[in-house]
Amino acid sequence: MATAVGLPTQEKAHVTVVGQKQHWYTSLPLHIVVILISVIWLLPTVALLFTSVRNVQDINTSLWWNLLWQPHQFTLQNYQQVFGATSTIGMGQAFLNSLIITIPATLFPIIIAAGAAYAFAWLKFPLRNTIFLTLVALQIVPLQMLLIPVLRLFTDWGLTGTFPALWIAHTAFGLPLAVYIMRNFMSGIPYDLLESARVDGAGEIRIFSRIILPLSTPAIAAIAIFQFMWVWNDLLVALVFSGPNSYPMPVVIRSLVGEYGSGWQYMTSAAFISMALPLAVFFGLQRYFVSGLTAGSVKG
Amino acid sequence: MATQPVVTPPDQSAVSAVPGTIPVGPARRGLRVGNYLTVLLFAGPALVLIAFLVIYPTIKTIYLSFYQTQGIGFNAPQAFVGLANYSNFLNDPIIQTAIKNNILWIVVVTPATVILGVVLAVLFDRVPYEAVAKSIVFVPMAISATAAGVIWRLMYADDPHIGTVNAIFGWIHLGPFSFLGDPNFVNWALFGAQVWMSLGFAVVVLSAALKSIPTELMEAAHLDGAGEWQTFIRITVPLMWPTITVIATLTMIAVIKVFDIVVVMTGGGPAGASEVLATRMYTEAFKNVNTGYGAAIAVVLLIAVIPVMALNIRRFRTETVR
Repeated sequence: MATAVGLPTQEKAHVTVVGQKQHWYTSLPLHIVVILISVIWLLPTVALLFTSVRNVQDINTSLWWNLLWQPHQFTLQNYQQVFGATSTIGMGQAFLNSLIITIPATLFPIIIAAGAAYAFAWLKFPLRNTIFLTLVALQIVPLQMLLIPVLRLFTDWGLTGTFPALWIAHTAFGLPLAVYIMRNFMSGIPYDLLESARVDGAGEIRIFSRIILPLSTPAIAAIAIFQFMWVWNDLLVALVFSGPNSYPMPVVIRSLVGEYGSGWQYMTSAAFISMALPLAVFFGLQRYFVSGLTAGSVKG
Repeated sequence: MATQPVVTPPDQSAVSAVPGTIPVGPARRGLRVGNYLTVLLFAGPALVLIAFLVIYPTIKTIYLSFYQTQGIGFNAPQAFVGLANYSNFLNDPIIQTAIKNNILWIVVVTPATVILGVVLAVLFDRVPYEAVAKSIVFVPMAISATAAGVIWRLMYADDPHIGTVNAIFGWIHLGPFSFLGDPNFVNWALFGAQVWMSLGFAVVVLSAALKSIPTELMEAAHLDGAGEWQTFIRITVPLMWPTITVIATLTMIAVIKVFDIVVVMTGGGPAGASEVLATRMYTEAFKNVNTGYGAAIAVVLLIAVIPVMALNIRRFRTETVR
């Protein structure tokens, strides 16, 4: 991001003659377009945030940006109504459920995939490459292909509607991609490193935990962020496998939309609560965030 | 322990291990044959989970698509119906609308995302606040499609006191339009929301490709008298082409499977005008408990995704060669 390879135009050739000031005038339309696009892209999120902190009368009688010159409209009562302890909407419980679902559903696939990735990258066993290629191919299978039989299995085992159902489903569905990314990363680790450890008498488990895992941190971070975002934001898997005791936020928001088609005060504040954590992750870990989403872009 | 300096493996080692290009080198020299217990310890859990919850369900869904099944239980009564679930598509106007809509999604959203992505990557490259602009366009990637659905319901709201889009149209004395309530508008309104969500990803990836083009090429073109537009068409676009293909295929796969945003914004309405295959699959399989039919729709989704993915894998290979 830092290296500006760009500016491929005559501007560069003319710099020595005209100097920097020329740019400012000639590139004014460019700045207008870029700033306009940025504003358009920011506007919807800001509209949601502003709407969520106005009371229902204000929302229904004047557009959200009136808050800018009427700051006295600011109120947190919508958040109390959807998030508070006495709320009938129960976003507080849904937020907890989302956490209870997402944390294990992010950790399990990382731990399980790391082991498998090590085996595929550095251990020798029959059909190793065939199995790995099958794994690669499985990434294209749409979730829709898995839902019906897995629901039948879970119903048979009495798991449907429970947290373990969601942990197991998200872990299994996330594995092919996680194994693939980590295996590719781990096979880039220099062989000499492993060999000398083996010569020194280290066992496979020791090599894995002391050398491979620490060196794989970038891949693990990318997968962790991708999987976290995927599970946190997931609606489809949750609709099929969660129940009244385990509904995560997207399911609750969706039913809010169904029940209160124009209850903007509820929908906007609930939606913003669900966005808060991913946005914090985004701004906190932007570099890993981008690489994580890039790595996982094929999933679904 | 190892005394060598710790070398971090290259981030992009990924490309070397794509189908067909599996490097067999290092692991050949790996573990002694026969120590299968170690292999089982490391790979076993993943393989068991994948076998039970990915491979078995995929085969089972294909199998179920040839059956008529009532109920979701494991022992639900079922009867073999051959290809009837598939031929029933011909008698089902809603599924036909859904297929047409999915095609429209592909034909509209893919070029829109790619073209806007390339244009923004090039424009952003020329401003000093590029990082900020990219972050802003990327923010919707952090937002769930469910929340984005709420955001765009709000933007498109019929009442110009609530809906920003209608408020802006009001300034030029147009509307108000019922974007989500009018069968003629609804899909286009959804496309807008989808492009808003996914453009940031395209811009970030395309922008990285743009920056990998050597400056000398551009300068040489300019010295030879090529204008801005000519340089863009003759040099920038061809050199970015592999990345453009990736973005195009990824967008296509995403819109073939589009679900969340449609469910939240329209629920497939009005009167089924915005239904897509994924929403039909969910409704048939889990609402109408029409398991066989739902399975058949899922199989159609799989078949639709395969050729697009094949394109993508071929791209990966050429990438490896370069």
